[in-house]
Amino acid sequence: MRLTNYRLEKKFNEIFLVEPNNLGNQWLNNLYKEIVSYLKTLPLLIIFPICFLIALSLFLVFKKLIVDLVSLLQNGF
Amino acid sequence: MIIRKYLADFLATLIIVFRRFVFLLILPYRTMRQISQEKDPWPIFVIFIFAFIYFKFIYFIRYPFYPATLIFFIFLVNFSLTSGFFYFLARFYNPKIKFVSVALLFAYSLLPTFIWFYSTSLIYFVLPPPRSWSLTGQIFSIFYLAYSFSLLFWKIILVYLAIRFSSRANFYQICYQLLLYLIWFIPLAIFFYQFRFFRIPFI
Repeated sequence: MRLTNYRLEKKFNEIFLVEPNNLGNQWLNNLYKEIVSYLKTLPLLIIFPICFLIALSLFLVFKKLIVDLVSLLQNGF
Repeated sequence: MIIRKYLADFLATLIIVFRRFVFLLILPYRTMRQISQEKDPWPIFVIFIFAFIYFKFIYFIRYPFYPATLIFFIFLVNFSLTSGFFYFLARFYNPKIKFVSVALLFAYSLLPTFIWFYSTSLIYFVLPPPRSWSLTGQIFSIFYLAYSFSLLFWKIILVYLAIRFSSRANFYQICYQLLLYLIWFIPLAIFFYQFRFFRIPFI
Protein backbone atom coordinates (compact mmCIF):
# COMPACT_ATOMS: atom_id res chain seq x y z
CA MET A 1 0.00 0.00 0.00
CA ARG A 2 2.85 2.35 0.92
CA LEU A 3 4.63 1.48 -2.33
CA THR A 4 1.44 2.20 -4.32
CA ASN A 5 1.04 5.57 -2.56
CA TYR A 6 4.68 6.41 -3.26
CA ARG A 7 4.33 5.52 -6.93
CA LEU A 8 1.09 7.51 -7.19
CA GLU A 9 2.73 10.53 -5.56
CA LYS A 10 5.69 10.22 -7.91
CA LYS A 11 3.36 10.00 -10.91
CA PHE A 12 1.37 13.06 -9.80
CA ASN A 13 4.61 15.03 -9.32
CA GLU A 14 5.63 14.05 -12.83
CA ILE A 15 2.27 14.97 -14.40
CA PHE A 16 2.13 18.35 -12.66
CA LEU A 17 5.79 19.15 -13.42
CA VAL A 18 4.80 22.11 -15.58
CA GLU A 19 1.81 24.43 -15.37
CA PRO A 20 -0.67 24.31 -18.24
CA ASN A 21 0.14 26.81 -20.96
CA ASN A 22 -1.78 30.08 -20.89
CA LEU A 23 -1.67 32.01 -24.16
CA GLY A 24 -3.60 34.95 -22.71
CA ASN A 25 -6.75 34.31 -24.72
CA GLN A 26 -9.31 31.53 -24.20
CA TRP A 27 -9.70 30.95 -27.95
CA LEU A 28 -5.93 30.62 -28.38
CA ASN A 29 -5.76 28.28 -25.37
CA ASN A 30 -8.43 26.03 -26.87
CA LEU A 31 -6.70 26.08 -30.26
CA TYR A 32 -3.34 25.24 -28.65
CA LYS A 33 -4.85 22.35 -26.67
CA GLU A 34 -6.62 21.03 -29.78
CA ILE A 35 -3.41 21.04 -31.86
CA VAL A 36 -1.24 19.64 -29.07
CA SER A 37 -3.66 16.78 -28.36
CA TYR A 38 -2.86 15.38 -31.84
CA LEU A 39 0.90 15.82 -31.35
CA LYS A 40 1.23 14.07 -27.99
CA THR A 41 0.72 10.54 -29.39
CA LEU A 42 2.36 9.34 -32.62
CA PRO A 43 2.76 12.87 -34.03
CA LEU A 44 4.30 11.58 -37.28
CA LEU A 45 0.94 10.01 -38.20
CA ILE A 46 -0.46 13.55 -38.47
CA ILE A 47 2.72 15.36 -39.48
CA PHE A 48 3.71 13.19 -42.47
CA PRO A 49 0.40 13.53 -44.42
CA ILE A 50 0.40 17.29 -43.80
CA CYS A 51 4.03 17.54 -44.94
CA PHE A 52 3.23 15.44 -48.00
CA LEU A 53 0.44 17.86 -48.96
CA ILE A 54 2.79 20.81 -48.37
CA ALA A 55 5.51 19.17 -50.51
CA LEU A 56 3.00 18.39 -53.27
CA SER A 57 1.66 21.97 -53.23
CA LEU A 58 5.20 23.37 -53.38
CA PHE A 59 5.98 21.04 -56.26
CA LEU A 60 2.90 22.11 -58.21
CA VAL A 61 3.86 25.76 -57.75
CA PHE A 62 7.66 25.68 -58.17
CA LYS A 63 8.09 22.43 -60.18
CA LYS A 64 11.76 22.19 -61.29
CA LEU A 65 13.01 24.25 -58.34
CA ILE A 66 11.81 21.52 -55.96
CA VAL A 67 13.76 18.84 -57.85
CA ASP A 68 16.85 21.07 -57.65
CA LEU A 69 16.19 21.66 -53.93
CA VAL A 70 16.06 17.92 -53.31
CA SER A 71 19.36 17.46 -55.16
CA LEU A 72 20.79 20.16 -52.89
CA LEU A 73 19.38 18.49 -49.75
CA GLN A 74 20.78 15.14 -50.79
CA ASN A 75 24.23 16.74 -50.83
CA GLY A 76 23.54 18.34 -47.45
CA PHE A 77 25.04 15.69 -45.24
CA MET B 1 35.21 -8.02 -12.69
CA ILE B 2 35.26 -4.21 -13.00
CA ILE B 3 35.26 -4.47 -16.80
CA ARG B 4 32.26 -6.81 -16.62
CA LYS B 5 30.43 -4.28 -14.41
CA TYR B 6 31.17 -1.38 -16.80
CA LEU B 7 30.13 -3.50 -19.78
CA ALA B 8 26.85 -4.40 -18.09
CA ASP B 9 26.24 -0.71 -17.25
CA PHE B 10 27.00 0.29 -20.84
CA LEU B 11 24.64 -2.34 -22.27
CA ALA B 12 21.90 -1.32 -19.84
CA THR B 13 22.33 2.34 -20.85
CA LEU B 14 22.23 1.34 -24.53
CA ILE B 15 18.94 -0.51 -23.99
CA ILE B 16 17.49 2.47 -22.11
CA VAL B 17 18.52 4.85 -24.92
CA PHE B 18 16.95 2.63 -27.63
CA ARG B 19 13.80 2.26 -25.56
CA ARG B 20 13.58 6.03 -25.11
CA PHE B 21 14.14 6.54 -28.84
CA VAL B 22 11.18 4.27 -29.62
CA PHE B 23 8.99 6.06 -27.08
CA LEU B 24 10.01 9.46 -28.47
CA LEU B 25 8.39 8.32 -31.70
CA ILE B 26 5.21 7.07 -30.02
CA LEU B 27 4.77 9.33 -26.96
CA PRO B 28 7.17 12.29 -27.24
CA TYR B 29 5.52 14.45 -24.56
CA ARG B 30 5.45 11.79 -21.85
CA THR B 31 8.93 10.50 -22.73
CA MET B 32 10.54 13.96 -22.61
CA ARG B 33 8.80 14.58 -19.29
CA GLN B 34 10.32 11.36 -17.88
CA ILE B 35 13.75 12.21 -19.34
CA SER B 36 13.65 15.64 -17.63
CA GLN B 37 13.57 13.90 -14.25
CA GLU B 38 16.58 11.69 -14.98
CA LYS B 39 19.93 12.50 -13.39
CA ASP B 40 22.10 9.84 -15.08
CA PRO B 41 24.46 11.45 -17.65
CA TRP B 42 25.60 8.20 -19.32
CA PRO B 43 22.90 8.20 -22.08
CA ILE B 44 24.49 11.42 -23.36
CA PHE B 45 27.75 9.56 -24.02
CA VAL B 46 25.92 6.72 -25.75
CA ILE B 47 24.19 9.26 -28.02
CA PHE B 48 27.56 10.90 -28.72
CA ILE B 49 28.86 7.48 -29.79
CA PHE B 50 26.06 7.35 -32.41
CA ALA B 51 27.19 10.78 -33.66
CA PHE B 52 30.84 9.68 -33.77
CA ILE B 53 29.90 6.54 -35.75
CA TYR B 54 28.00 8.73 -38.22
CA PHE B 55 30.95 11.08 -38.80
CA LYS B 56 33.28 8.12 -39.30
CA PHE B 57 30.75 6.53 -41.70
CA ILE B 58 30.42 9.59 -43.94
CA TYR B 59 34.20 9.99 -43.96
CA PHE B 60 34.29 6.80 -46.05
CA ILE B 61 31.34 7.72 -48.30
CA ARG B 62 32.41 11.21 -49.33
CA TYR B 63 35.71 13.00 -49.76
CA PRO B 64 35.62 15.27 -46.73
CA PHE B 65 37.64 18.39 -46.23
CA TYR B 66 38.42 17.60 -42.57
CA PRO B 67 38.99 14.44 -40.52
CA ALA B 68 35.94 12.86 -38.87
CA THR B 69 37.34 13.41 -35.37
CA LEU B 70 37.62 17.17 -35.94
CA ILE B 71 34.02 17.35 -37.24
CA PHE B 72 32.90 15.35 -34.19
CA PHE B 73 34.75 17.78 -31.91
CA ILE B 74 33.02 20.72 -33.61
CA PHE B 75 29.69 18.96 -33.14
CA LEU B 76 30.50 18.63 -29.41
CA VAL B 77 31.30 22.35 -29.22
CA ASN B 78 28.04 23.18 -31.05
CA PHE B 79 26.03 20.90 -28.76
CA SER B 80 27.68 22.33 -25.63
CA LEU B 81 26.96 25.89 -26.78
CA THR B 82 23.31 25.02 -27.45
CA SER B 83 22.79 23.18 -24.15
CA GLY B 84 24.73 25.83 -22.24
CA PHE B 85 22.70 28.64 -23.79
CA PHE B 86 19.35 27.04 -22.92
CA TYR B 87 20.63 26.10 -19.45
CA PHE B 88 21.60 29.74 -18.87
CA LEU B 89 18.13 30.90 -19.97
CA ALA B 90 16.33 28.10 -18.06
CA ARG B 91 17.88 29.25 -14.78
CA PHE B 92 15.86 32.49 -15.03
CA TYR B 93 12.62 30.49 -14.90
CA ASN B 94 13.72 27.41 -12.93
CA PRO B 95 16.74 28.10 -10.65
CA LYS B 96 16.88 24.44 -9.48
CA ILE B 97 17.58 23.06 -12.96
CA LYS B 98 20.79 21.03 -13.41
CA PHE B 99 22.92 21.19 -16.58
CA VAL B 100 22.82 17.37 -16.91
CA SER B 101 19.04 17.49 -17.25
CA VAL B 102 19.18 20.10 -20.03
CA ALA B 103 21.99 18.27 -21.85
CA LEU B 104 20.07 14.98 -21.59
CA LEU B 105 16.91 16.53 -23.06
CA PHE B 106 18.82 18.09 -25.95
CA ALA B 107 20.78 14.88 -26.54
CA TYR B 108 17.55 12.90 -26.94
CA SER B 109 16.19 15.62 -29.24
CA LEU B 110 19.02 14.66 -31.63
CA LEU B 111 17.06 11.57 -32.72
CA PRO B 112 15.38 13.20 -35.80
CA THR B 113 18.81 14.63 -36.73
CA PHE B 114 20.36 11.16 -36.63
CA ILE B 115 17.53 9.65 -38.66
CA TRP B 116 17.74 12.34 -41.35
CA PHE B 117 21.53 12.35 -41.67
CA TYR B 118 21.89 8.56 -41.59
CA SER B 119 19.08 8.04 -44.12
CA THR B 120 20.34 10.81 -46.41
CA SER B 121 23.85 9.34 -46.44
CA LEU B 122 22.40 5.89 -47.25
CA ILE B 123 20.20 7.34 -50.01
CA TYR B 124 23.28 9.16 -51.38
CA PHE B 125 24.93 5.75 -51.64
CA VAL B 126 21.91 4.07 -53.28
CA LEU B 127 20.49 6.98 -55.34
CA PRO B 128 23.21 9.59 -55.77
CA PRO B 129 22.08 13.10 -56.76
CA PRO B 130 21.27 15.03 -58.90
CA ARG B 131 17.61 14.14 -59.29
CA SER B 132 16.27 14.17 -62.83
CA TRP B 133 13.10 15.70 -64.22
CA SER B 134 11.67 12.22 -65.04
CA LEU B 135 8.47 10.96 -63.38
CA THR B 136 10.39 8.83 -60.86
CA GLY B 137 12.66 11.81 -60.07
CA GLN B 138 9.64 14.03 -59.41
CA ILE B 139 7.89 11.42 -57.24
CA PHE B 140 11.07 10.80 -55.26
CA SER B 141 11.54 14.57 -54.81
CA ILE B 142 8.03 15.01 -53.38
CA PHE B 143 8.41 12.10 -50.96
CA TYR B 144 11.92 13.07 -49.90
CA LEU B 145 10.82 16.66 -49.25
CA ALA B 146 7.79 15.44 -47.25
CA TYR B 147 10.08 13.10 -45.26
CA SER B 148 12.57 15.93 -44.56
CA PHE B 149 9.80 18.33 -43.49
CA SER B 150 8.28 15.66 -41.20
CA LEU B 151 11.58 15.10 -39.44
CA LEU B 152 12.09 18.87 -39.15
CA PHE B 153 8.66 19.32 -37.50
CA TRP B 154 9.35 16.41 -35.18
CA LYS B 155 12.71 17.99 -34.27
CA ILE B 156 10.97 21.30 -33.53
CA ILE B 157 8.48 19.46 -31.28
CA LEU B 158 11.29 17.73 -29.36
CA VAL B 159 13.29 20.95 -28.95
CA TYR B 160 10.11 22.73 -27.76
CA LEU B 161 9.51 19.95 -25.22
CA ALA B 162 13.16 20.04 -24.14
CA ILE B 163 12.90 23.77 -23.39
CA ARG B 164 9.45 23.35 -21.82
CA PHE B 165 10.53 20.69 -19.36
CA SER B 166 13.93 22.18 -18.56
CA SER B 167 12.91 25.80 -18.04
CA ARG B 168 9.18 25.20 -17.28
CA ALA B 169 8.50 28.28 -19.38
CA ASN B 170 5.23 28.95 -21.19
CA PHE B 171 4.67 29.04 -24.96
CA TYR B 172 5.62 32.71 -25.51
CA GLN B 173 8.72 32.45 -23.33
CA ILE B 174 9.85 29.37 -25.28
CA CYS B 175 9.33 31.19 -28.60
CA TYR B 176 11.38 34.10 -27.24
CA GLN B 177 14.18 31.75 -26.15
CA LEU B 178 14.21 30.11 -29.59
CA LEU B 179 14.38 33.53 -31.25
CA LEU B 180 17.38 34.50 -29.08
CA TYR B 181 18.99 31.16 -29.95
CA LEU B 182 18.53 31.67 -33.70
CA ILE B 183 20.08 35.15 -33.51
CA TRP B 184 23.52 33.65 -32.83
CA PHE B 185 23.00 30.16 -34.24
CA ILE B 186 22.22 31.22 -37.82
CA PRO B 187 25.52 33.19 -38.23
CA LEU B 188 27.33 30.24 -36.65
CA ALA B 189 25.70 27.83 -39.13
CA ILE B 190 26.75 30.13 -42.00
CA PHE B 191 30.29 30.16 -40.57
CA PHE B 192 30.32 26.34 -40.47
CA TYR B 193 29.00 26.23 -44.05
CA GLN B 194 31.61 28.71 -45.35
CA PHE B 195 34.44 26.74 -43.76
CA ARG B 196 32.94 23.44 -45.00
CA PHE B 197 32.43 21.91 -41.56
CA PHE B 198 28.69 21.28 -42.03
CA ARG B 199 26.49 21.91 -45.06
CA ILE B 200 23.35 21.47 -42.99
CA PRO B 201 23.82 22.05 -39.23
CA PHE B 202 24.13 18.80 -37.31
CA ILE B 203 22.09 19.82 -34.26
